Amino acid sequence: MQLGSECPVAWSRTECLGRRRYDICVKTIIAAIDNSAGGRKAAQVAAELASQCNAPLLLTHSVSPLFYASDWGASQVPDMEMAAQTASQALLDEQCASLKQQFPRLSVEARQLNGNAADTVAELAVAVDADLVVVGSRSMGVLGRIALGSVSSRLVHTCTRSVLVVP
Amino acid sequence: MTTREPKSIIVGIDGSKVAQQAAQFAAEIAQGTHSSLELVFVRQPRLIPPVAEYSAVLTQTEEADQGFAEECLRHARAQLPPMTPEPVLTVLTGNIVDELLKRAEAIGASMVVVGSRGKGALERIAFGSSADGLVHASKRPVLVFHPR
Repeated sequence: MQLGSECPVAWSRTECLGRRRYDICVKTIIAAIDNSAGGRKAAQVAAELASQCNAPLLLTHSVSPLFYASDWGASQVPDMEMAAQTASQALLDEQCASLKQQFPRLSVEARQLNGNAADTVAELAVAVDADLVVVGSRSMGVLGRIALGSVSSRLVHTCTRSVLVVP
Repeated sequence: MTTREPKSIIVGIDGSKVAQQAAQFAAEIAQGTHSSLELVFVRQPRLIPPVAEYSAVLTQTEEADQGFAEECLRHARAQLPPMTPEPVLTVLTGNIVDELLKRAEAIGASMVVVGSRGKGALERIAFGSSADGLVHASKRPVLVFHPR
């Protein structure tokens, strides 16, 4: 990952490496967003943090695979998946553009992920060596959480990097 | 960047190594975001009946607990990176999730930071149902620090 070339805060990356005690640096921040008010707020908080800490931001959105129990309607699945991916890309582009406008000095990248939201983000966090994953907590409401489970809870439990949950 | 009122970050300390690292991480964010830092140790209340026969034991235990809490906080402060704003050290007593959130509300914290595992109560925060308790009950962003 070429994004985090230097340490953001008062002491430099080499100093960080030189002193074992202070080897924690905020280098790359991931914001997992979705098309909800909570997701947008998470992106906002992440962008604020990233711009203040001078860290690059990686915006992600996960497209869940569609499952069908029978063959009925199977012919439409590719179309629906395509539509979901187009919508996801549009969301990422829109968020990216709006954050770039608000934080001109921030380096933002967008990446679309395919699969379970919590798992794909946790994997990506390790892959790009992120220091922090920012996620919203209330995108689905109480009923949705009971029915589908909470992405933020799953992420907190499974992700091997620090997670910031934004209410 | 919309600069609002001064921000503050609150960190749950329990004497564990992960909590200490979480404090270092929080200090770094505090420095980047020009926030103040508060290290909080939440003591578990002792279930000693407040009757005359036990008063000596009670005082002793209280003192020991308080001493341990303060020692943990001082130790965590000593481990913070150089040029960190001087943190406020606070000892509270009660349920860890409730007290942390209450304190966060009281000082208007912009973020609550806890380690992903630690001793006792903080360990349960990460692995028990209290994780959801803290993360979902909080009206403020919660950062669960994971050591590398």
